[in-house]
Amino acid sequence: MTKDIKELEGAIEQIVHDWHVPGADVSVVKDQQMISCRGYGVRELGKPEPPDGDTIFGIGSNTKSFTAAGVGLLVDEGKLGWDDLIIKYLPDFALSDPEVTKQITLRDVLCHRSGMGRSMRILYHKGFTNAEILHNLRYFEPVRPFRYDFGYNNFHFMIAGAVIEAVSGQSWPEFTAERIFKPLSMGRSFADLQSTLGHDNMSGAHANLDDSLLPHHARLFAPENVVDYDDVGNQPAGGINSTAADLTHWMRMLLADGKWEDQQILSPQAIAAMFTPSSVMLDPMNNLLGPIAAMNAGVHFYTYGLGWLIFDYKGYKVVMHGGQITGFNSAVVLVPEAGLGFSVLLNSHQTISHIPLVLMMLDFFLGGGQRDWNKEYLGAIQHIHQGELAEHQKLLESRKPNTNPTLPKEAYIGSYHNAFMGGTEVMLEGDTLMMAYGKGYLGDLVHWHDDTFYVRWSNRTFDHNFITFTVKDGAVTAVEVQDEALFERV
Amino acid sequence: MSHEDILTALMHYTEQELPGILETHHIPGASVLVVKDGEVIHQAAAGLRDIEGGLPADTKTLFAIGSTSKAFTAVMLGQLVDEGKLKWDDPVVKHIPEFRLSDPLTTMQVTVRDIQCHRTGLPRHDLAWFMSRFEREDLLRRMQYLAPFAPLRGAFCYNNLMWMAAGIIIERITGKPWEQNLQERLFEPLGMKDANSSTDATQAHSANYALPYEKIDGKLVRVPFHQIDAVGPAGSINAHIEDYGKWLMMNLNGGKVDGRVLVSESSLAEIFTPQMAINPDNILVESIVRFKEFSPLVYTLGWVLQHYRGRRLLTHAGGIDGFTAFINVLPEEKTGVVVLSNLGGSNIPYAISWDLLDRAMGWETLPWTGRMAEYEAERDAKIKAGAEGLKAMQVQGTSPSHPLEAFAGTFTNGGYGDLQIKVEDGKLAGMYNHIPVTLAHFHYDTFLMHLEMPSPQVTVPVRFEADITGAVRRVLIPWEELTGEIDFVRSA
Repeated sequence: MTKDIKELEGAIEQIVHDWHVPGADVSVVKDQQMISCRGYGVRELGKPEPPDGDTIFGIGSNTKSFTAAGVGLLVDEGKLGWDDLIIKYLPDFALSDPEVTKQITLRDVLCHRSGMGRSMRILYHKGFTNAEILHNLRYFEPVRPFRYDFGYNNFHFMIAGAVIEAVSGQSWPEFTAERIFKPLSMGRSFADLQSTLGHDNMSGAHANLDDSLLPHHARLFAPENVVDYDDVGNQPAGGINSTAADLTHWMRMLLADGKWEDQQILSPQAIAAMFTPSSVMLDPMNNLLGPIAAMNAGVHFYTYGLGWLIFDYKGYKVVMHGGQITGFNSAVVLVPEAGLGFSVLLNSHQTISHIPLVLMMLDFFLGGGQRDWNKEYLGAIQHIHQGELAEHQKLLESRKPNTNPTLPKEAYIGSYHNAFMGGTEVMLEGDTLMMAYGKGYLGDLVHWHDDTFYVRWSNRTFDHNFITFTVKDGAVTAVEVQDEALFERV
Repeated sequence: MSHEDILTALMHYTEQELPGILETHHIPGASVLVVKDGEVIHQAAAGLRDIEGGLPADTKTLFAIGSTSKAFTAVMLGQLVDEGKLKWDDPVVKHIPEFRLSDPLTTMQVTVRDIQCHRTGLPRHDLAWFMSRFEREDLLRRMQYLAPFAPLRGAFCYNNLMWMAAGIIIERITGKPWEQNLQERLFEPLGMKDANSSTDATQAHSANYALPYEKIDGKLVRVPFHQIDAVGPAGSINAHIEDYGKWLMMNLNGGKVDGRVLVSESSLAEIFTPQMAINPDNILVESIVRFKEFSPLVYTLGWVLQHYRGRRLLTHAGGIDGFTAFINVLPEEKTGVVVLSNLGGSNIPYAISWDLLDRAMGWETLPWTGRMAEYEAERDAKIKAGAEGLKAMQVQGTSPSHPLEAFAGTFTNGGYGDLQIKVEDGKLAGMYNHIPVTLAHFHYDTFLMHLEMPSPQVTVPVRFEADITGAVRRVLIPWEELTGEIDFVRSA
């Protein structure tokens, strides 16, 4: 096995290198033994230190399985039921459809079937508290009928976190630290940024911040900049920072029917509930596992359990989650039937290299045919990247030359409001129009054409937003932030 | 493995092994068919279609195909989608304005897709139609009195009445009975000349049909044909294996028959698309998902979809009094297997079909019938333990609160119909719709009520309740785990 593991580690090293990921940590457990746990590349660009198994990374949405397990702990104690109504614990909770408000359960949110569309990431940086975001969900229109299809959304897990808080009397980060990290001896895992900062051996977060209008997800090569950890506050959908070594404890517990050393952390029933499909993706190509679906990897089922993706591969049930947060990408993968678990932590979010890594590692352990996933995905990403560049070119060409805003700059100054998204301000600083949204968003407006501008946010990890002002009868009445919302002038 | 080797293996299986398997598991007769790479490569029959008459089954023997009929109804819905007359996401009330469920909001929200993938929340309530002789439209009206188990889309709840409603949608759109649609839209273009949609037709017009048998207390018993025409769209088709093969080929050929489009490729793909996860402990799938070669399971728009040995596999079982059918489709491999048999309540035909599938694919064979027999033994032991558990619950030395005559009368439930109870020879007995019942005192005002029908075996403790005047007012019957106690209130 030792030689085999060396071979596997070599393949991991190759992928990390070929995808220009600054650094990575990978840990593997098999039959309750940790058989590999080490770093690859560098902890931070520009510095020589390599990461090791104890290096802290953001795990992004792999937080969701911890939140689901937190609910499971309370179910085990008889304080909650998976099918309990949300309003039983959050009496003021409301979604835009009162009938859905009356019916929605913990299971519904934990398997993403409320009918909500994608979450507005911009909201986390607005400076809203979770309570304010949850309150505003009543202004968030659904995009599909209740329980009709899988629709991934971070708000679902904020709701679950709020229920945990209401039932346990603890904040979600405290609850998670005390009830999961502590008994599992995950000493270098933290449920929010505040408790993470100040520790040694933290990985850098990396991004490519060039000045183009390319969206960040399209900048898939060579991150060049070290950026701040994303402060998402109390975030049961993505706020945990952890290490490859700590995650082996988590995975071993999940693979041992909830046992860790002599303790039963979580009941086998709670784990079975998390690992049983609850919602089915009707359109996997345009969903979370799109990069796998697109490659005809032989997967027939794309489902979501409670806080976990569940699909089949080579006849095995695979339980997995990905996690992306500014500067980091990750995957936690379990194959309970094979006693196998592994975690992949990358210190750049502008990559999909975790997908070939996961497939390569599954092939390594499950046997059967092996495809050169690294090569195939490198090819695919080139193709995708070309497409993104073409889109970008189209965008540049769509700009009408030689136009001016309808009104003088002063006319755009003012407060604008959207019920769901809150308020945003347009100001004039010297000669430059600026937009401010919450505590995190401040940027200058670059004129595009007519009354359309784009906002160059000062936090360069945020994508530019195109905005268009509505001018009626010589006055500005609203501003539309493209793909986000329409803000009416106050 | 060469093609010749595969043919030899299939031949060897049906000639040398299948007769023994049928005998071991008390299956009177079976016919089987294998399609590979879009061609029928093997069809055969074994055993007897009629034990008493000593008549052998052959590949032209009619069998009831039970719930594998649902896929036929699904394809007709797909044809209406192709014609622009229906959308999968249409509310049911758009096509059946008087369709009602107990919850008005659910009534308005339920779509064709919801009913096809069994997620309306309504549990089976099979005894509401079973042997009732209620007409299709009458059953439709009765659905509003049936209690849900789960909220809309909250859980997988297999339901035959909903598929009957799917058939009614076809009737409303086309202005023709489901049966006529089936004949014109599927049987005729497919060339399924001998297929029909009623056991009445089987007995009246065919000279070659299998008789229904059940295993009761370990003994093989000939049972009457069960005519289920009212819920036909959920499962009333009868066919022989040669005709069934034509249906299977169409499903493997992207909806085409001899180059002609019967249903569009996109509608067929939609029918095969995963929609609703099935809980692994659901009785419908527990005998499949327990084997590690299968996992996980979802319902499509008429099929159970799982993966088998890493391949996408569509299956459906069909079980109706005296018959078990099982169909497998591996769409990527253009391979399929059908087994039709005249023993009800058996899972062995599933195993036979997987034996054939393994051989058709040239895979390592697995001891499927032995494994399935183990499952059946466990299932039977569980049923026995349940009966013993019930016995252990009995409180000794109690008597009813009223003289037996006070329990007599007619008790009615809007969804289920009438239960008439009389005193006969010092005991309670009577009729539930058209099923004779007997009631044996259990304890206090609880009686064990037994339905006197060949299958399935239904004996449950029922509870009588008095009103404030002291008169026996209602009887509560827990027929199904998910339905809870069904409330029959005195009407006469």
